[in-house]
Amino acid sequence: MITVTLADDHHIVRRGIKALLEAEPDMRVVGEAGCGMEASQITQKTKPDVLVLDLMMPDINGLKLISQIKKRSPDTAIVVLSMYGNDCYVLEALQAGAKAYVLKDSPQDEFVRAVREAAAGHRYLAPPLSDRAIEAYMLKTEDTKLDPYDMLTLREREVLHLLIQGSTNAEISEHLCISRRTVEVHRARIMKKLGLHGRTELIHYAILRGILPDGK
Amino acid sequence: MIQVIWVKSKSSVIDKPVKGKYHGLPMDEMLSLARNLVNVQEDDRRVIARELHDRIGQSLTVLKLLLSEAINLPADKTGATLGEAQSLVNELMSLVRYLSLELRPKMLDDLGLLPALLYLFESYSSHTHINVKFEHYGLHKKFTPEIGIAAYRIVQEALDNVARHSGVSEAKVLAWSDRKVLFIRIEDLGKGFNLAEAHGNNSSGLNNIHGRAILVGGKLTVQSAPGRGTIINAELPIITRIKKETQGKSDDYRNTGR
Repeated sequence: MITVTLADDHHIVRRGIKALLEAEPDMRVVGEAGCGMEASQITQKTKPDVLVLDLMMPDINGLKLISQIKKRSPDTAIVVLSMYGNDCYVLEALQAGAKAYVLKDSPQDEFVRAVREAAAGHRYLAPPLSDRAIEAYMLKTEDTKLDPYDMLTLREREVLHLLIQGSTNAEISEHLCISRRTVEVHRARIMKKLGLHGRTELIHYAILRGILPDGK
Repeated sequence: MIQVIWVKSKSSVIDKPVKGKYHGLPMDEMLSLARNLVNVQEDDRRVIARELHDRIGQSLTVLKLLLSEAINLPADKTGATLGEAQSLVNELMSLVRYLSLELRPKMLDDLGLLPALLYLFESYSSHTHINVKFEHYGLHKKFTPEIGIAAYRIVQEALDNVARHSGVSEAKVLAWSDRKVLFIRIEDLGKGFNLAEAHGNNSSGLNNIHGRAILVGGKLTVQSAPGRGTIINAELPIITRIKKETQGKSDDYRNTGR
């Protein structure tokens, strides 16, 4: 027998899910919760095999709730039932410790299957969700290698262009209405960010980047 | 000739009013900023009202008709009608989901700027068929809600402008942050425009972007010229302490099947 607790802030949704699960011969609903706090408490008390959880609870962020419940009731598998199937939520829910993720508009048998898989300790994403999509999304969240030139601030870029044109610190200071000391700081930062040492390297860089001013 | 306009402010304008000026911004500029923000709000409401009436309202009427039809049918003949009603309900669900995310991207509050931007690009590309090339660095931290929403709306508004005016099939967005500043750049190689004229026209898209940056004490420049594309650069100060993303996440996902 698979014991299940339901957490959703809409009574009518809980009633629907309960009817659906109890039509299965091997499933029994042992508790219900209408908010996050209650979900956490009732899971701790009833120790169900599976908790079916709506990610959008009125009182606690659903993702935080998952981590919290996983800590207090590590033996309960969490099945997320959500309106939102965006990869970011699915990934965060899985990372927080959920076992399965089903959309509210998924077919009923998908939902029942998710509960069964989670109870058996298997991870399950109901279609149209897929591992491949989640992995592709994960890749997109990884830091990209940015071109150092792109990472210069607007001011640094102005200073860089003046430096390339051959302006001295004093001239740049006057042109941009900033102190010489500030120009020096900008200059040092630019060279550090671009990994350059000295004027020759700066000119080489400017040629390579195609940012050398006309006639030079 | 590429023209550059600067909008500068040293710190958040909300801090303290200075006689006749808001942190270096002349009063008239401040008023026009406020007017723009009110207009944006009204425009948004108009769009939502229209969507509610035209799409959700209509679908609900059809749904009501389908259901009354089903009630009057003999029990064994209701299948097709109910099937139609069900697919309409599915449509309505996805429309409500879309509108609610459009109004306020929930992932921005729940998960932070990076997931919200990734969602924005996905939804933008599917609606406009403009591909967004996105490069980022250092966005895995929590920004304050003010900075997060400012950054999100600046990118959103700039991309809307790309779709409306530039005539390109690809735009590029760069976003990165160090300990003090969040940098954002939106570039396209499209038609571009004359900045002086756009300023004179009170072009609402650009004004909104300026307004968003100024309100959080940021800096913004727009570079454009006819035929030369457009680059919008924003630098937003990360005012308060940076909170690291929740540590100690379960690595269950990473360890399975990979």
